[in-house]
Amino acid sequence: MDSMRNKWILTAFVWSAVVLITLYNASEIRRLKLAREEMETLRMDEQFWQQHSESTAGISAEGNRLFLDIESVDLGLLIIDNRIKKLSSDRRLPPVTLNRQPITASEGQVPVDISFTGSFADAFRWFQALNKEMPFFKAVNLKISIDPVFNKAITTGSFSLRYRITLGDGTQESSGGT
Amino acid sequence: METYSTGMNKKNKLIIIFYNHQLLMILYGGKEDSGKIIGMIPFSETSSTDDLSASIPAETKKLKEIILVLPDYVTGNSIYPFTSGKRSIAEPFIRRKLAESFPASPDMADLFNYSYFKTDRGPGSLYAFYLKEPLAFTLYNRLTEAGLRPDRITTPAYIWQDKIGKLSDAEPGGSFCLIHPLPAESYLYFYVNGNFLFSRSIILPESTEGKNEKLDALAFEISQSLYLFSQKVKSEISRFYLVPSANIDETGLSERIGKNIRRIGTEKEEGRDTDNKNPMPGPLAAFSRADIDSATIPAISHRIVVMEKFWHTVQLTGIITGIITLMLLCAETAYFSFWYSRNILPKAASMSKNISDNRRIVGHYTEMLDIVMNDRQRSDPAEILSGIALSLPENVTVRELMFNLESPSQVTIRGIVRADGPDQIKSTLSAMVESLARNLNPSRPPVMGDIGFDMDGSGGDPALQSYKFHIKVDMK
Repeated sequence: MDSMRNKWILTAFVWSAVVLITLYNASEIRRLKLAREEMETLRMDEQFWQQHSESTAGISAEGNRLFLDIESVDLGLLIIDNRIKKLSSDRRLPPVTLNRQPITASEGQVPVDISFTGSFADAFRWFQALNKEMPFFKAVNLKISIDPVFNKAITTGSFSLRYRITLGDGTQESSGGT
Repeated sequence: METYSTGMNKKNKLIIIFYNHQLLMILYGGKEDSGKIIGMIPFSETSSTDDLSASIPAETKKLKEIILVLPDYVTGNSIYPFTSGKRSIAEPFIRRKLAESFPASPDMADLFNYSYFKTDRGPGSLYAFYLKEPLAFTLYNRLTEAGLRPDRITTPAYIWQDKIGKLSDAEPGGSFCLIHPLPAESYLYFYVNGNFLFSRSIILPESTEGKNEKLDALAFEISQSLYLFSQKVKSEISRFYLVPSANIDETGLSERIGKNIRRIGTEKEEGRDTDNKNPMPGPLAAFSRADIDSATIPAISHRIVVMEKFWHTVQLTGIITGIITLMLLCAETAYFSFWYSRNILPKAASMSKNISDNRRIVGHYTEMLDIVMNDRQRSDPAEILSGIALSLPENVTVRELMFNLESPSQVTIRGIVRADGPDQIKSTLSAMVESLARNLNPSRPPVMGDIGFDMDGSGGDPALQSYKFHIKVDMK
């Protein structure tokens, strides 16, 4: 009886091992399948990036132009003030008054008020130059009052500076949204 | 107690004969084809397992096949009318019948065998034979406990039944009697429908008057036994067999009982002169080891042994199939592991850096793309100013421009239109609206209905009437 019982135990053990290894192999097959699929996806990703590296680099470069990399917000405002005044003087445009708005800046953006007085053409050229040289400094609201008799245009507006804080070694800490 | 040196191997078989309160152990098969006595051990109902176990040569416990030969009197038999010989029905039936008939011997239900037979006269019957004497159960249990569990248990009567059934002139299913004379005693075996019914052992008188007195005594006992046979089964013996013996005159015996007697040849008789070392005692003297080892001899096996033999093939097949399957699955596992380490791991290692780089690039690219697309959709104040300047007719002067450049962006133009009448106002402003729609790229082209007028603010040149107006243009 012991012999028969031992044989049954052996049979049960062998077939239990068969079932366990079958389950293990099934999980291995799933794992290998997933690994292959992931590798295929990565290979296609790599292929995609290789084929579109030029356009992605262009987008990245264009996107980077929309940020001013600064070490602090105050320093950034100083830079903006300096650049705007330089922009106006280089083009013989009227002087610009720049004020930081007394509201809390959202992450990555600082609201700034700007006003200047000049001709309508001056305003046009100023905005044209601003868009070309400082794409990270965007108008949000503008009001241009025009006196046709004296050919004078008073421009006041609210602007937004989009910036990225950079650490001393040039790495970025945070960036702003749209 | 006597034991002898062995030298056995696993191919050997062990024949254990219980005779005269002794266990005679004969090694047979393999190199011991002629049989070799390896032990003579006294046995009684009071013998303990320990004594028996100590007396048995240790190597015999490794033997797979053990045949136990018991005297006829320790077995019994019964005939039950039954319609089926199917194992699944017949076995439980016989177990139940034995348990009912012999409630004092519970082991009997595990130590029986049966055969199914049909006669011309009636329906089928089950012939059940079993151990019935307590001594037999004790012996079986002691041997099992000592490590010599018998595979088959038989008796001289069943060995004769098998031998007679193999004779060329045997009539299957008949009733017959076998007479086996020995020098000091004779054995009578009676069979009905080919199955053993009972046997008798007769001590023949030692006489100086020759063989006649022995013949008379033997004939008398045969007559008595025939009467007993007819009483038991209501039938007559149709054939008589005699094992040839120098002590018995076959013709004289035939005349005394009034029946024809056939001689039955045995290997022992034929080889009598050449084999003087016959170890078989008493009623087994006429048998060779091969006679006792025959697989066709009716034999009793314990139910556990029967079940083991029944399931042996299934278990063996299950284990072998399982092990083969297990090996294949292990090979599969090894192949997966090899394939993974050869094809996946190296590539994964080389790609792991690219994976993180790609993910970072994808994240950066997606972020930049959103920002760039939003910026591209944003209206440029310079372009709006240019569009408005291009759209203004000569008699329209702009006084104020208001831009909301957050989405949805909107441009509000306030100005003055000078005209000498409503028709000119209408045509002037209509031209302005069309130009604005063309130059500003609005989300919805402005229409005349979008223009509002401030009546109280009119004034200026009396020759020309001036009207203040305002218009809102929704930008993309």
